[in-house]
Amino acid sequence: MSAVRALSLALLALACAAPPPEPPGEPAVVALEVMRGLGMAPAASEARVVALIDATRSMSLRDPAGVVYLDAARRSAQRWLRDLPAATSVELRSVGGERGMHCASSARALVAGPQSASDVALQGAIERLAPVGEGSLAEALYDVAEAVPAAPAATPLRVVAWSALEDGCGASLCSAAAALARRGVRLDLVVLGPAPAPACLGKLELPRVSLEPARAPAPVEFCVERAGPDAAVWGCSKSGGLPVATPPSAARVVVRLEPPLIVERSFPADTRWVLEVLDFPVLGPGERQWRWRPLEREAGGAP
Amino acid sequence: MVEGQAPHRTRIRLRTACAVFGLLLAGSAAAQAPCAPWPEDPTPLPTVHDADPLRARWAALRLRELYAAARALEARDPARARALWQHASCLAPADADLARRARAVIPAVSLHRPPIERGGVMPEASDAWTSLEAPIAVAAPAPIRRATVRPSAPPADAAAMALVDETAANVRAARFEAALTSANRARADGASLAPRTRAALEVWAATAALALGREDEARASLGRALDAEPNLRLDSATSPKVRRAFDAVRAERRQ
Repeated sequence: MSAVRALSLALLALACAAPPPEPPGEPAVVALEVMRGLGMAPAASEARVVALIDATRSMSLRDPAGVVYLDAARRSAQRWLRDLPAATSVELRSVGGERGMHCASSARALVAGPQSASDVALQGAIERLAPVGEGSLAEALYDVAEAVPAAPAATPLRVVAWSALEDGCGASLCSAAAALARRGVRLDLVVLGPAPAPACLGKLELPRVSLEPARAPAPVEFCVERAGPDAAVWGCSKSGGLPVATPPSAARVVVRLEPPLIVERSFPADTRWVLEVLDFPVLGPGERQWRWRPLEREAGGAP
Repeated sequence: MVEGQAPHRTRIRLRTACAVFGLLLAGSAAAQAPCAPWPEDPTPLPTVHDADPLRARWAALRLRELYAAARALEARDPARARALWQHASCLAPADADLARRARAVIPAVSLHRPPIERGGVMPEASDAWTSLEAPIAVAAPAPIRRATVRPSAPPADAAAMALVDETAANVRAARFEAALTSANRARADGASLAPRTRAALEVWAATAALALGREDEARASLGRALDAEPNLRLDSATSPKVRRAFDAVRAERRQ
């Protein structure tokens, strides 16, 4: 009995000696700021290409060695196709190549729609080309330019043309190439034979393009939990920018990165914190760093 | 200060990476300040020399990413690669190499004049785009004889004949400057050349001069060809441009 009394007295004395409990303070506030990499890797897609072969009557001319220009164009184009990455999208057209075609005729699609470079139909269509009819290489290039949107597309377009530059239709090759250049399209002109190419072609430049992500990547979600074995989630921020209030005690912040970042810390009451994270997983292990930055409370403002 | 570094078990998700890369490439052509931060970049845009070590570290890592992406794009899409170099240059303004790449002029047109050769085996090229410059082998029928190429008796000096052949080969291979040089040497050594061969030499030289845009030089060559062979007729394989120049020179002489 006396032991029970003594214990009660001891507990009473202990209780009286302890400081009175503090009134609960304002919660701490935690925000997140992630400085991420772009996760860039070489794009898998290859460029789109338009291949134009001059098959007008002028391509039946021979070079001094007696080789018909169209034969040379055919062999060069077939080798080029074989050497392209198989997935490259190729549109194959001819200028001329059909009886009755004239300078105002549009370039003829040799195979319907874009095909992958490895498609045998492309090789066959080139093999069947004959140097007949008339046509304008410059007009064919204009047609390509007009079909290209003004803003640069995600997959760039490139044009390759084989010609002896003897079509005689008179349209300006330079203007046509300039129209392509304005849309960011590069032209590879394979000249067969000695005909001079217009000097102005060498002065054309590709315009500067501005690049930036079309929209910001999805925000990073984070949650604040009670630290310890009996963890309970106090709050989450799905929008990335909104802070989370946390009771003034040991907490665990879980940032939903790949892999997740888990940081534990005690937050004093009525304080504001930003967890700054540097995350570049593509560049390899170790390229993630983090730090806590305290924020001053704005005068009169609530968290 | 950096408080910690989390251990990494990085799994590079190619699909995610490509999607983000696609977003990047879908960029707009809208005008923007050259060093404006992109939407996900810290503001203001840090540099590798930023006083804040975390921001400086971010700039260094982003620079590595941009460098790799620009290198990967450069051959296929130099305009977009240049835009990446431009952004990289903003992160490291003191880097002269980046500044040079960011300012690079990109030609819109690449001219290729592959030599045309006889033969059934096409020479190999390292890739499709370099193949456009590589020699083209065509198993053509026997060459059309150019009446002017064959020398008539008396036999010509072998060295001068070799220079005529060299001139022809240079024109066929689109080495026009070299063709004019060898033609000059052939003229100097070619006192013993037959008139027909001298005429052929001048037609090759005129072809080269026209290809280089030197019309006066071409007309002079064609005049010498007609001096050597007043009844010279060009064969059907001659380029229309050479033929037009030749007709004009002959018409002038008849007036």
